[in-house]
Amino acid sequence: MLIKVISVSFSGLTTIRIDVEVNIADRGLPCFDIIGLPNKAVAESKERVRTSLINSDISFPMRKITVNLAPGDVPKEGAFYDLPIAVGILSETENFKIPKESLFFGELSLDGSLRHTKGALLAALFAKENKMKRIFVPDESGNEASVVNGIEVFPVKTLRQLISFFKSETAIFPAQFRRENIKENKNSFEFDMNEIMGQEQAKRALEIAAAGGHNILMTGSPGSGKTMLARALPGIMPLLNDEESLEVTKIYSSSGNIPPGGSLIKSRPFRAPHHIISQAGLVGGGTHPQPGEISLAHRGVLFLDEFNEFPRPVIEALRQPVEDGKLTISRSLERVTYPSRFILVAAANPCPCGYLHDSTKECTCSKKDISRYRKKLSGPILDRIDLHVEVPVVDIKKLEKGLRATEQGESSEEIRKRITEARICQERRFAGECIHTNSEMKNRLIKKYTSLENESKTLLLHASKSFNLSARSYLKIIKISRTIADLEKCENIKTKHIAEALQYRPGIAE
Amino acid sequence: MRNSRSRVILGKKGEDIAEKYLKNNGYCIIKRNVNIGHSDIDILAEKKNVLVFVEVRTRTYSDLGMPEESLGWKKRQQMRKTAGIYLEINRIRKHSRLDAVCIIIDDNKTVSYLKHYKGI
Repeated sequence: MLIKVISVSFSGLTTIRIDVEVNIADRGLPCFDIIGLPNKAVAESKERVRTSLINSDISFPMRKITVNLAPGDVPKEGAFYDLPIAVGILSETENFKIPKESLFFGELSLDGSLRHTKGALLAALFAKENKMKRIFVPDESGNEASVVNGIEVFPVKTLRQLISFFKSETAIFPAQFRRENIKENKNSFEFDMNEIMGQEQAKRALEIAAAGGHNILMTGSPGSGKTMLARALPGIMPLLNDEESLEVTKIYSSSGNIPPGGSLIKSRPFRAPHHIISQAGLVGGGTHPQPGEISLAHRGVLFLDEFNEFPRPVIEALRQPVEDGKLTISRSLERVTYPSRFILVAAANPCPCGYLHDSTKECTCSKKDISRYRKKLSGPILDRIDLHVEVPVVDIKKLEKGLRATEQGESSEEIRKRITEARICQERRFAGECIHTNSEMKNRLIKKYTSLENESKTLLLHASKSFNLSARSYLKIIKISRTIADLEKCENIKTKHIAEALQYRPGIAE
Repeated sequence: MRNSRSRVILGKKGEDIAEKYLKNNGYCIIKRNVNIGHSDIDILAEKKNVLVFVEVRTRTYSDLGMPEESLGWKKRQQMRKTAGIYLEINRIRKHSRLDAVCIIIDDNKTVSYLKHYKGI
């Protein structure tokens, strides 16, 4: 007898329908074969299905079982075909009907229970897009899949439970989406902005970066607090809105980064890979391309400490994703596009010894050393980074004073409030444009949404002439000043906004 | 532990049962235990002008595993080879087929399970 069960297959973030056809024949020697280009994880599924059935006290049929994963020319990978295969076999041996328009998804454990499986959210989204009525997922992935409304999400604990559900002996209640309580971990950030003494300019630059989604490069001598500043950044980042949250959760779901019972990701990702990272690790790759750090940092922060120490090809690979906000990885077997709209925060020393431009220590590097060190960062990359800011050494006397002071600087909480307002202002502006922040504006949108006052226009023209600004730099300055104006809730860009934006461009501040 | 002698007796008994079963189902038994090299064909039968090579597998208790489980890919490959050699030696040009008869014999010496697989 032939039974068809619907499941899915993933290629990056796209999903296609897979029909799991289970044929249980009465003729022929008993065997259990899976066809349809299964990889190792899928082929091993037959041992999991057989053992989990036996361990659930269900006799495994001694008949010729053939499982076909159609379409047959798409390579299948992943362990989540266990549930559809098991349901197909059980429907024949236990005599129950599989409800129509249902999708099955989940990995079996040898004891007959279902394990948390990566990609549950994508499967649920697929079910909804294809107008299916229900999806059966492992219990621990239920909360993740239930984000999608409009379909019934059934969290299944064990195979036995599922059988008695189909025989209408017990009920499984569709999972209801529970929002995770975000308030609890509000203060769990590593550093608060008011713990950092001084560095007002760097703090201000980070605020602009966070508000408008601009990339930032901090240079300064060792111990001046670059890393600390970057680590305080998540604390001032506003929470993800619903749309962004879904985008981020999709990436994390497909790469298996959502913990059992987890759900929508609400706080912005902060990724800080070490500089020994490979190119594939940073931008993504593999025969079946997996998302890299840039995609895992989507809608969040990618912090590259010791920017100069990264291998040059790795940094150069950042060029297109920084500009386009997405990256297509083409391999012979698969072509996959992952979104990668992140804020790049880079920290570097100005020279090999680290003390160039330092007021307390003398730099021991030769001119040649310095130029070699700087050559590691190419012009195109530096040009793509909107904000360049120097982090000077902290005066120890001031630090001591600050540690003892009762009066503290602005806390992350206050800064975040301001940034959230600026973000809301941007979202309102770009409501119909499918972008979220000022840094994503293309030329057409810059023309449409940025109105310069006459005085500011003359200042900008004057500056671009005297500093030989590139076309990209020119536009970047407009975008930055738009963000600065948003932070002050100004409708038009004024001269002071342009003036502030100018000082963050390289080669101008010095 | 059963010794090898009792296994031979069990095998012989299973083959007797299989022979009787095949006869009842309209097969003409040509030969039993055809030796070719160091492998043999349990039963050689014929029905409707098709030569059938039958392998008989006998077990005592079903909980020691099903008889089908001992018919792995390697054993089937060997059976195919043996049958091919037999056909070559005897210059037989006929349609032929490989079959298996799986038997479980109970404690009280009755057949509790018998299955005939055609064309394995």
